Amino acid sequence: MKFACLHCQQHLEADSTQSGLQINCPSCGQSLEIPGAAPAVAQAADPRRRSRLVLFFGIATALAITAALAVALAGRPAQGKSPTALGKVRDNIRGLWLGWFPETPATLSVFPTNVALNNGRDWQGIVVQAGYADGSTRDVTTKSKLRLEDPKLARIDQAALFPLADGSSTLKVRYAGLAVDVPVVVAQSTNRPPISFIIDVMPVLSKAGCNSGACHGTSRGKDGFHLSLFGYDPDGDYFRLTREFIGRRINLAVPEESLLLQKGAGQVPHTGGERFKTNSALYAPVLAWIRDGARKDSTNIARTIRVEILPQQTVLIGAGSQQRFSVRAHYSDGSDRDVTSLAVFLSNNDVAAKISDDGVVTAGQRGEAYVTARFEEFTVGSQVVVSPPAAGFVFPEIASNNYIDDLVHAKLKKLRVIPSEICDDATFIRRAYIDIIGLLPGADEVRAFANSKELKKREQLVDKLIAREEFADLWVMKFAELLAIRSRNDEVSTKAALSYFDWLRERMLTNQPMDRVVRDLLTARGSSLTDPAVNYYQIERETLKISENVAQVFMGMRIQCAQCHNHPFDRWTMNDYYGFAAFFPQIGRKQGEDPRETIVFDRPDGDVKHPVGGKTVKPKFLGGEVPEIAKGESRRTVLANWLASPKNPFFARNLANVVWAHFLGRGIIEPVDDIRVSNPAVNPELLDTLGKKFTDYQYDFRKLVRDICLSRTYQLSTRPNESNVHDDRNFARAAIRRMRAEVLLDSINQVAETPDKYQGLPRGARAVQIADGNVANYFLTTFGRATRTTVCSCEVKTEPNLSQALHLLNGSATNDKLQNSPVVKRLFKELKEPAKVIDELYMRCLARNATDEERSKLMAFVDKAKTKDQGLQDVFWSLLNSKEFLFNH
Amino acid sequence: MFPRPLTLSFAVLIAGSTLAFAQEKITYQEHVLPVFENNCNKCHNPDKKKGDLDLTTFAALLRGGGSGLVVVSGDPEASKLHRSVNHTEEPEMPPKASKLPGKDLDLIKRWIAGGLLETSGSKAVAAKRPAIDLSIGATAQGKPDGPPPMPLQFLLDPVTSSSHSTAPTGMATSPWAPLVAITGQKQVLLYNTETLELLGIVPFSEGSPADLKFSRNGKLLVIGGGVPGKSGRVVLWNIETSERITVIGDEYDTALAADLSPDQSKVALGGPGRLVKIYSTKTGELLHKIKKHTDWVTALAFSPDGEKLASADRNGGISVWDPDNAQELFSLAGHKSGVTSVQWRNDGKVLASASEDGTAKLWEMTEGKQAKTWTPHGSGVLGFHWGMDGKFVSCGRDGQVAIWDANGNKTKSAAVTNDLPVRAVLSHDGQRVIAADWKGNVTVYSSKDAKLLGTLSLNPPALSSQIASAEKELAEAKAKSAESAPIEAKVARLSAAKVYGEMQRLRDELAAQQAERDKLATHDKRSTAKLTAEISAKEKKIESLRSKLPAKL
Repeated sequence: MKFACLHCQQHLEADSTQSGLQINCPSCGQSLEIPGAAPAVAQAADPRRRSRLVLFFGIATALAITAALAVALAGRPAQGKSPTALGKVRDNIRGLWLGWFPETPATLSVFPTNVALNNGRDWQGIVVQAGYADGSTRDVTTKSKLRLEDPKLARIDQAALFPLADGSSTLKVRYAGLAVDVPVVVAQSTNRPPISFIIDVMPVLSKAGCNSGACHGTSRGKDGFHLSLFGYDPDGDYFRLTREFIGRRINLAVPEESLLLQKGAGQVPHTGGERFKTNSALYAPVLAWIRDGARKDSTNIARTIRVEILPQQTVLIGAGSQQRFSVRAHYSDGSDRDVTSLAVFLSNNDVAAKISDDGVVTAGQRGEAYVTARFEEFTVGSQVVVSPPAAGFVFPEIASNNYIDDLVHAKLKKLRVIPSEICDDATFIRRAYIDIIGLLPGADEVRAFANSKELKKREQLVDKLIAREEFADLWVMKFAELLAIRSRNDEVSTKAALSYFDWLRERMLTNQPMDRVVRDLLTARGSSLTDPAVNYYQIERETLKISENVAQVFMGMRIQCAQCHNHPFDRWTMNDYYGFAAFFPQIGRKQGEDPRETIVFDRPDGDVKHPVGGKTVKPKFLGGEVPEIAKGESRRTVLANWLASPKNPFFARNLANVVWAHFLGRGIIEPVDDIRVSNPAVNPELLDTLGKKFTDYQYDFRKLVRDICLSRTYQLSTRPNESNVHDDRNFARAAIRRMRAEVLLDSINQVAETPDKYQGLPRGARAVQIADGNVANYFLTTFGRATRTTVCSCEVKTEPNLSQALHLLNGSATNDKLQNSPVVKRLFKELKEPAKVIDELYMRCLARNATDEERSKLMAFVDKAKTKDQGLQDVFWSLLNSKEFLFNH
Repeated sequence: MFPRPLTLSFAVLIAGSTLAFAQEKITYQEHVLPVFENNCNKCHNPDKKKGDLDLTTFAALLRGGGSGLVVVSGDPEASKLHRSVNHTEEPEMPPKASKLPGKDLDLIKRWIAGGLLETSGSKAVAAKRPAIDLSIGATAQGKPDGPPPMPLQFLLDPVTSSSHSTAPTGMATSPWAPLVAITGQKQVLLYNTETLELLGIVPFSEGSPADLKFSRNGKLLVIGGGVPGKSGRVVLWNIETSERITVIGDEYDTALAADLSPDQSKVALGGPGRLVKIYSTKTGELLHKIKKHTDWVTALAFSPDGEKLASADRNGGISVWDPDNAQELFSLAGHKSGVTSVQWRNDGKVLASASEDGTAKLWEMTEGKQAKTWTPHGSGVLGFHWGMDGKFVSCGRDGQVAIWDANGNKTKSAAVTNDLPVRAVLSHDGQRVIAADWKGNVTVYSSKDAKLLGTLSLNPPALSSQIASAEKELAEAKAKSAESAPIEAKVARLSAAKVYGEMQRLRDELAAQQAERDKLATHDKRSTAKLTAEISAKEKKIESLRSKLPAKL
């Protein structure tokens, strides 16, 4: 779309979707708004256009329709379906309108959906967001008309309502022919409640950054002035501000001269600089509170119970477009409050979407961001997608294999990203083997699979592989890592570690539902030798650590932060932390008869105390309720029954995410054990559905794996297309992943036919089967196997390093094994021709034939070698060192 | 050394424009040095150094010559340099030659008057204050002769009026008179502990007063304070005449603690800077800077004989120093939390300290050993005073104000108000306790039976309304034909205080005008004449006010 700058007449060009944006003219630098699309031109390029009548009707028609719309909509609420004829006419007109003018929004949303002004000091900002047919959104707050039906009740100033008189009315919001009604209730408009320390002052200390970790929130404070980190201890902060150092921080007689304000406003030298202006919304409440006598709140003041950030979905088109956010806190007395100016905003991806201190997101490069608002101990987030302007983008019709594809495609459509093609059969069988059973397919298997004409051959392959014992082995290993199964000098004997591992393996082999396995672990009692699950409480014996591990492994939550302060980027408070820890203080341990044996039992007493205030904390489910626990009832049992059940929303989702990450190379939440408000799922609907399916499958692991492996998404090629080349988070193409240490070693041993011997296992056993994390193996350590010293998913490393490269080039892993490998000799004997041997080696290692070019080059090399055997051996060595072998792709 | 041609041309330029812009900063580097270079430095350079005087650098010039300092900041007439070049004193300079051109002489004079700036960015050299000799020779440890020092003349119009009061940080009683001083907002309030009458307002324009002490003889009030986070000063105030004597120190944060040595020759101060500084009251010079405390200095006290200085910090550390040479005599370890007060016994042999850790401790001062410890307020001692009669009063975070005998046995304890008591002191005779809480409520009660005797306001009304209400009271008394003599006296006292306040205001104005006249004297005859007329009118007015004042209010 072409237009001229209003100021300098410079000819400019912009995408039609950017109309309405405020830009600075690149020529003269003055601000101007990109005008609306020129109808004829913009529509011709629009594939969704329904009719080509436009040229005839032209602008005159458009104007007529505008008038008709205005008449049809005048004074009528747009929400809900109108049964009248007029309503139908209106809807029809709107349909035509949308067809001709894609700039007209399809929906109009107003946030919040109701306004309650609870007292004379209250106010509420309004955000208006227009939604378009292509899924994009636009902030039209300033362009909308806001009118209160009864203007006596509240004053509207800059899209915010301020109370004037008590009563109920309706806020009429109109934009581009759409209208939304927002109910407004004003109460207690003459009552201006006193400024509260907790409600009004504490948020300022957070918003201004006073109590952040780099400033007074650090454990020793700054210059002798300490505040609780992010405000976890309001009572302590009240004391420190008012009475810790008499006469220094607060001046009741001349409130403006309180050092708290003078330092904060930079009126006297302050290491932390100027944190707010004297005319700001941060300065005023603190001053008012001091003027009021710097009073302490009564114990029964309303407390925040919930915080919301709106809008929840934002799809911005083009760099520079903006969306403001509104943050609202809900209080225990039923009131609510606009806390946008007091919330601390963060974006997890500033490149895509930056958020300002006052909650306005500005789009940057294509991508996604999750913006979070922190108010008091609550952190809430909202997703922002930034797409490039692409008027002609069409998401192709792609068949879905199952629900997974539907959900993945829905997200990709929003991002304007097209998934890659499906991979070929050879790639698929190799990928499925490595992922499902941790081995490579045999050459014959690859050939048979590729040649099979069976329509459902991929499904059959997946079913066959899932049923194999190696499938269980792979997952036993993965869980052994999460449970950190490893012998330790005193607590866990080798015997105990082995029996623990075997216990787990038995459950996997017999396909026991995961909820039962977890319940058995959490409630384990008895001897560490004969009741192997009790080793769960031997590997970690400290109450707080146990609860942290349970949260991390079975719920995907890292709650460690909340041990000392409320989690700054998540919802967890110290109350949550100690409430959850309170399930574990009653674990008793005593020495068994065998010196290696420990008996784990439930003691009748034991409590966890909150470090702030020192009170005993009642057990409380993480993110759940405080359960009734009868006297004598085991707290662990109560916890296990909740944790491994549908009542715990995190359990199924977390395990589903772990499984997903194994097959797709990246979790829907990544890392998988770091679920938090500020690290949300890239596709929440997908994660929810997977979790729900897993629950519906009665926690049968194999069924979930089957769904994932059969999805088109799993079977995509790694080759990117133009639209998905920069996206590695939304599963638009398969990830290229280095084989993890155990699988790589097993694969080398498999193709070279050189069985290894590991401590405690017979020769020929696979690395995947090693029970004790303490078993030493140079190859595995070099290639980053989990040390099993912590439960963190970050223990498994697949990042390359120099010793890996050197070890593969010169080390025993390839050189010695190839020396001892019978493969080349045997193949040469059987196949006679070196070219055939080369093909066979290719098929073994890479699940494909050598290309003609590769074959001819390698033949030239083999021909020059001293002996054909030697030459072929070198070809084998090269294959094992090739990236194509080391990676799953 | 300097880009001479450039500075010269600047000098000429600026000198030419000075008449038009009287406020122009005259600096050594830009203006004065070129004059010296042209006329003086042939002899007064580092090599020849005639008369042991070197004028080639700023620092050397300030060091002066064989006969002492040659410049006195702000006072050209007192500066030898000025007198020599103006040929009003021997040796006349330049020797055996005519005086320097008038414009050069003017530059030198204005440079001295302007505070001896080195460059345009420098701060004026602190004016060497007129030598005040507060020294009272051999320290009298007993009661001084004559009537106990009480204010004879005073100001009663508050500097700051506010609707609320706030926690006072400094509170002190005169050792000999029924007088208590309490910190207010940019002012200190003096009350009579017996009549509970307001006996004066001491303005403290330097910021918030933080710490108060009476001199040993009770004649001076020591006020430490400043603007927290920004500046700190110590002011000495004459109780009897209600006159400011001097201002000491130039700190970067408030003076949380201050004291005057018993011989009145030294002031010690400390604060968030963690330093203990000892200044001379005579010259205002910094004598010692002690860097030992690891946290804010919260308390300071000279021993009654002046031979020791105790200092304490917010980390619980206490040190005892020899104030003459800043050598540490004792380091007293024991408090686990910030020390809120250090106090000496009258004989100087025992030091008492109180702390946020809840304890009070006695330290004997021959070897610096802890002699006794007790716990007046388990959650922290905030106020602590060792009275002249040997009793202690303390208050703390448990909300109690308590009185202890010389052995640390509790004799009385009470919660005075419903907020945190932050300071408590005993009157000079030990009969009364004055206690203040966090909201600035000040109560006076009997130390014998804890009976409430009255309250003191930290935000007294403006003098005009004090007078108005007294007059109203008088009218009511007369209407009822009740005894009106004391009320009449009160009205008279308030009226006299008003006259005194007016007189003080004029005196301040006068001083400012005199300074202005000195500055302008040489180059603006007309303004000078006008000022002189105003000054003499003012002097007459002050005289007439003075004649109206009684010798004692």
